[in-house]
Amino acid sequence: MQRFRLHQGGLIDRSRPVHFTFDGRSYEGYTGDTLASALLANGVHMIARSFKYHRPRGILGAGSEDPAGLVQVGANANETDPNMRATEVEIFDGLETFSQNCWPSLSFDIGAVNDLVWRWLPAGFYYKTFMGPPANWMFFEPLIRRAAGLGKAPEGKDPDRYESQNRHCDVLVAGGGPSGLMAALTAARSGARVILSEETPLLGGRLNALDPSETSINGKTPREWVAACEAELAKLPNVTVLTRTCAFGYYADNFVALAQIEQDHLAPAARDAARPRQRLWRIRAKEVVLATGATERPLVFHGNDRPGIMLASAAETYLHRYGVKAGNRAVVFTNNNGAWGSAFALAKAGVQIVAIVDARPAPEEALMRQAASLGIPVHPHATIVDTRGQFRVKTAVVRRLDGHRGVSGEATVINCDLIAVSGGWSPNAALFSQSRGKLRFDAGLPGFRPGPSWQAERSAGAANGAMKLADCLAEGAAAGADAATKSGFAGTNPAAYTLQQPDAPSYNGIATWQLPSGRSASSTRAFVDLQNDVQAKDLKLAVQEGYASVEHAKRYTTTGMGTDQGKTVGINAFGILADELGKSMQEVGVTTYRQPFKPITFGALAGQHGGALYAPRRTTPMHDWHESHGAVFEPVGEWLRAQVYTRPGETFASALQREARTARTSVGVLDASTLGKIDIRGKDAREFLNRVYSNAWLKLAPGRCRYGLMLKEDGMVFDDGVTACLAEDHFHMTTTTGGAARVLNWLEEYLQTEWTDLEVYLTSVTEQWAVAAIGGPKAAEVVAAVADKFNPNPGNFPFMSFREATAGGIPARIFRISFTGELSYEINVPASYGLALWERVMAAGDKYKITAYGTEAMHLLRAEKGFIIVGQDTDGTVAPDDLRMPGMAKTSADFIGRRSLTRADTVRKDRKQLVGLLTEDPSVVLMEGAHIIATAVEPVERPAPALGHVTSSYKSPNLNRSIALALVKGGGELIGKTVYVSRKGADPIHATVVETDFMKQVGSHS
Amino acid sequence: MTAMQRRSPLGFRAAQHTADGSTSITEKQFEGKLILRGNPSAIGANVAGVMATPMPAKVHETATGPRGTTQWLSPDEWLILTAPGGETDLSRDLTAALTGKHHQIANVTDYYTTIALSGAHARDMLMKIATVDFDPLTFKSGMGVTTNLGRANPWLRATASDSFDIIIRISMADYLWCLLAESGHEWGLAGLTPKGAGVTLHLPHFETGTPAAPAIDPTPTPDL
Repeated sequence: MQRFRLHQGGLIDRSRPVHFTFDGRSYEGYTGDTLASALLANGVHMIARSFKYHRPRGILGAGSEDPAGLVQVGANANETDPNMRATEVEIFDGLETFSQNCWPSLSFDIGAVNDLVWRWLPAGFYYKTFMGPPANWMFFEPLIRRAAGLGKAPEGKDPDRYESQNRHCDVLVAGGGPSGLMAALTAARSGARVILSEETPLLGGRLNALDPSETSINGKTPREWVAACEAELAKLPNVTVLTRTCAFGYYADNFVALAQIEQDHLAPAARDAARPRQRLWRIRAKEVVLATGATERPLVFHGNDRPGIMLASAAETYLHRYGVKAGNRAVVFTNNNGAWGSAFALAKAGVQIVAIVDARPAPEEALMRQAASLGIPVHPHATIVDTRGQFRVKTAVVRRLDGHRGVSGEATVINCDLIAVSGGWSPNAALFSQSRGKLRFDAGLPGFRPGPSWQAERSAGAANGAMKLADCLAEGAAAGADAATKSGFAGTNPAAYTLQQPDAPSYNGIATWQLPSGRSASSTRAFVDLQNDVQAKDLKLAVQEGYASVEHAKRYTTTGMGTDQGKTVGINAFGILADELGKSMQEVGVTTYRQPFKPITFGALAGQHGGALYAPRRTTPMHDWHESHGAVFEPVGEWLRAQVYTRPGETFASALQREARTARTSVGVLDASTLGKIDIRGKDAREFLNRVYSNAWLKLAPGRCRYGLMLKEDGMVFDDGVTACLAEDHFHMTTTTGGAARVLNWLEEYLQTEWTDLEVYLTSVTEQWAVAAIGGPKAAEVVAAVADKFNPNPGNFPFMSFREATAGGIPARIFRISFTGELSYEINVPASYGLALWERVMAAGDKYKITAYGTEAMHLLRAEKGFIIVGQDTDGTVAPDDLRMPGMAKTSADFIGRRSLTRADTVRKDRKQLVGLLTEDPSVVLMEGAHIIATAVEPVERPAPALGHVTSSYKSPNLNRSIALALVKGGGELIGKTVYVSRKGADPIHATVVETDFMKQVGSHS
Repeated sequence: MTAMQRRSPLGFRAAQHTADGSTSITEKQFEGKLILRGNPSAIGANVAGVMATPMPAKVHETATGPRGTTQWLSPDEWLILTAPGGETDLSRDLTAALTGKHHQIANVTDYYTTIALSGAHARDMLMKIATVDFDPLTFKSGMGVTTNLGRANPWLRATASDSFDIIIRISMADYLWCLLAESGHEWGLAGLTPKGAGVTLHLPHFETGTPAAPAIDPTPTPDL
């Protein structure tokens, strides 16, 4: 039974009833209804509780501006959406909605005790508990979190799909009201690529809220005209019209983000699984037209927050768009002419207007006459000083204004079930402001309107402060023509139109930021922000406590900081601050508008780039073998590298020990394909290498390889690797896996900007080659079997050299280099043969019980030999000498970083140096990162004076004990001495400082 | 000894077709690929002689001749695409033609693979994952670009009005393949899981309740 539904009118489909629930109770609405319009049709006004005081909240607006009519949508814990505006949720059969922030129920809410103690929960309460002793916050925080709040977040993985979409266009029109339609039509007819976005399901904007019998455009009713526009736009291939699509973010370079609701409004059974639930449109527009309309603002008076108190324009929207009477007995309270029209429209539809209260001393004569003819009592120069009604407004108390910020005379008590308020209109300038446009205060509105633009955009219609339909249509057409012309479609003329409308007086609003109540300031409860429960006196308190800037006062009081972003708050708050500060509105200014204009789901922002498609996981050609042989993987940058290969019955640790042991006692093979590889070509290639590496390169003969260190300008180690001389003018450089891209960029930058004298070209060949690194006593036998007619014996193929060969007929490059200290070969083949090479190595090594080993064993094996890993044993503060590697800083020539090596700080004797550590107890494995101290007892001093830290630490199966590498202050001088490694909850561990090559000093293989 | 079997990075994927059959994703296996670097004013005529077509001179240009397609990558860098196996001869011929001139030719045939995206929905699919303007008015047949598709950074060119060849490094090829399939979801392409998505990771530092690393490793040492 839709008691408040009109029998006719509105844009809903009465032939298609829809059943939905709110808080478990079943209601009927019609197709085309929002949750708000359907609940109002059923006489339900109170739908929520406020954030802080748990005060009853109703429906203030009819669109995205509504501040506090928030509900939870959906019962499924994984799909439920919190904080949805009832004014925007479209109903469908089976829709389940719930009130939120109340317990046990909306009407009996324990949390409402907050409202009884409101005097002790002043503005800045949060902030004050923060600033008090730390224990205050610890005590209050859990209580506040529980008591204040909004809806429940969904619990599990989001089952819905989302997509994002990029588009370029000539003209983007944000807003599909009369101005936006004119702009889009004008631009579209020129041939420009046009995108029109409209936040609501229907084009037309405010036209949908007009009495269709009173207005006509081009001889059509507003709705027919909108339909004609829509049809014309739909036929043009250069036009995309997006409804249910909110332009929520205006970023640099005319990049505008739109969020489109694709399926939320459909019953689950009607949803198309192939399509996303929501879609993000990322638009790059040459020109933008902002036709985002205006928002009516409420009035700030004592008792202004009860359900049943609604914006006058919203009441009109419910009437004409949804065929719903928002009440039966309405008081209209205004400070401008616009709401008088709303009053007459409501009266015409059968709502009894029991009073028009106008704060202005002398409302227009014509309006007074029309009110009199309809029998509507008028209270000029008056205000509402109080309201009553627990869950819905029941009475309004009216008194005359005395002209001196007070009230006088007798109070008139008026019974009503609706108060339609209008505090004037504010141009909706959020996107304009996001684009960095500057707002200016227009005392005639009064309000802030767009001033100078920063980007290629223009505002049109109500968004630009035009409050008459004729002006909106004209401005829209002109803006469309301007935008099309500027985007390259010269000579575009504004679309023509004719408009018939009854004579309406102009809007003539006045500034009334807060209305007096005749009560003491402390007992006045006049709300500015209905979601965050900010009252006028909170703003005044903020000013008294020194928050003079609008940005500070906003944060201190949380004004406009709710999910509604204060769409109905702004100017009233600024006005109250201006009054309190004694400054002009222009001086006080506005707070910064930021993206998003309204809440956007994270799903839409992530789009299709989630889950397994969140980021690439780069795999080598041998990946499938690794995966099918028990590999546990390690992410190295974007790469996945096999870390260990666990065989049945093995743990990570035991597999590691097996791999590392076999690699020294027989033969092991590592997938080294991920190492960065750079092809270097040109007659100055050798000189180039000599400049980028800190060690000497001029004498490297073709066929030979060398290990090199690269430094940054600060002299600190940046990357390392082995580079081979293929020919006099041709080198093959390797870099660390993680450093591949940045090393190439770095080298290319030096060639292009610093060393334009050098004839050198670089090309990345990282993935051209798949690499198997074969090492161990039996490595030569395996390589001999893998390569064709190739003698790998050390006598024939010396250490640090390179040969071209073939393997199974496939060209291969074989390097005799070692990262383990064992006899070792790296076979490179074109990547498409990588897996074949690997399988061939495995087959050849089978009789030696060859083991594939992963990065963990590789780390262990190189640590046994004392080889560094850049990024693990170095951290950007380590110079070559700190590594105690002889000959890594040449004196014969200049190189990047050289000059920094003679800085006083770089030559300090007590710099941290790389050393080995052997624990007193060989079974103790130190923790990587552990701090090294000088005393056997943990010092009391904090922070404890540290000598350095452990950089690498392993249990070595080949040395049958633990080993560690560490950076220790003056470490080289401490060889043979004992240091202590700090740990939590126990005494420091005793360790001896040793040289880094453990293989050499600890002894032969076990 | 086992024979050396050649495998393409997407060889394990079947070609994908939209429900209406209009649009497909296929791999062009082993297409020959070279990177050429040099000063165009010094090498242009010699290269044009080998390729039998003028070299692309500026951004977005490609040139196709009897020996393949050359795509402009940067003012001194081109990607040359040729028939499978053709890279060896082409590299040899270019090297011969450029003797004595400072240049670089690198064979990157195995570094990258080619994904061919073709059909009525191709542009829409690309627009979902790339910020480049793929409107046919702007991105015309024969145009090439270096861009991001999701988080992969391929070279791409329009080979016909609704056909695109995407040159992607092999380590990211399956990610991109699956991302393209996802972009075609609304036209009936099946969801695919990229290689590497389901692997076991050893991340003790991220496992809740596990200390970062034990100070004393309790693992028994295996038979030493």
